[in-house]
Amino acid sequence: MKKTALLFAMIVLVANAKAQDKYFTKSGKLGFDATAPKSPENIDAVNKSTLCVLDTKTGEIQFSCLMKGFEFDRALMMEHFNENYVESDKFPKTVFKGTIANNAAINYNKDGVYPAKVKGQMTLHGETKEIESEGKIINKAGKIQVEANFNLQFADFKVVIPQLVSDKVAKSAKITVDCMLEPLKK
Amino acid sequence: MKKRKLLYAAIVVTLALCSVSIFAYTEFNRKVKNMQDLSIDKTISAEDLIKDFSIDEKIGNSAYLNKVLLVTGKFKTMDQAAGNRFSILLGDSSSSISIRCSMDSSYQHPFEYKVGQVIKIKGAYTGFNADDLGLGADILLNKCIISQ
Repeated sequence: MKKTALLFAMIVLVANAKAQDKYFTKSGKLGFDATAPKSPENIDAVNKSTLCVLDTKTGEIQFSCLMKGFEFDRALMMEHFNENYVESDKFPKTVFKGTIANNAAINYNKDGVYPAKVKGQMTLHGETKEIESEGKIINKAGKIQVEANFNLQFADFKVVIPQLVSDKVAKSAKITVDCMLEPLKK
Repeated sequence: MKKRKLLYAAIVVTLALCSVSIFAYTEFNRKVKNMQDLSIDKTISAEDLIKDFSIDEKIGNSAYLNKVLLVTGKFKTMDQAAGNRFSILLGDSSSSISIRCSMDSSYQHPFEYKVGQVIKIKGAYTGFNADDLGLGADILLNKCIISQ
């Protein structure tokens, strides 16, 4: 009886430890800015329902968000973004799957700010490209904050900006990632 | 006679140009409407909405994409992200599919809801996240407000 109880306790401990390796959020923030020097207004938007999962053991990290979830200030900009540029009805989701290259150097058990190099594949508008980014992993009170900034070239993802507004929209978008991850409890 | 015709033509062209300019200016500066000002496309219970997506995600998407929904359902839980961003989840606690309502920035989180309490939320359907990672599937509503 004692042996069975001990075995059960060990299984629970191992399962718990495995779950603690993974952190996630479904309320991450992903910013987008394609403002060009000649833009009459800021061309920016934010998505507040970005899904992010990080496996601290392997350094695997994944983001995904729905294109319709980007909030713009101006209605016309939002319509053009969804209908003409990223074609949200046809390609509803953007996904990044990658790895933190220097994961071994990050101490997830100790509070602190750690630089992180992320490399992986981004799928947007039906096109998949390799991207690299530098960011920060911030450990604080059992939560992990992931911050990153990188640029996406529209041409890489076959997002076509019409000639008429080509000087008013940047050729690339600045992407900012800000996600507060919590331990995944199963 | 000829002068009068030219004058009329000039007036017509000027009026047309003014109309086009006013339209372009108004259209360019048109703000995204607040959720309060948008009309509801469909009123539905959380149960029925979840059922539609349980049957087939494609059917759910085609029925609700770009629609403003008024959903009545049981409060499941609430997520609070940095910067006072709230998401309210509706649905049955035993179901792996939830309706995830990303609340509008105007939402002040006035009081705690109890699990199982029935509330009405108005929001824009933005898509469905299937349970690819074992985190549960979500029907996403954006810019949500509590409807009284």
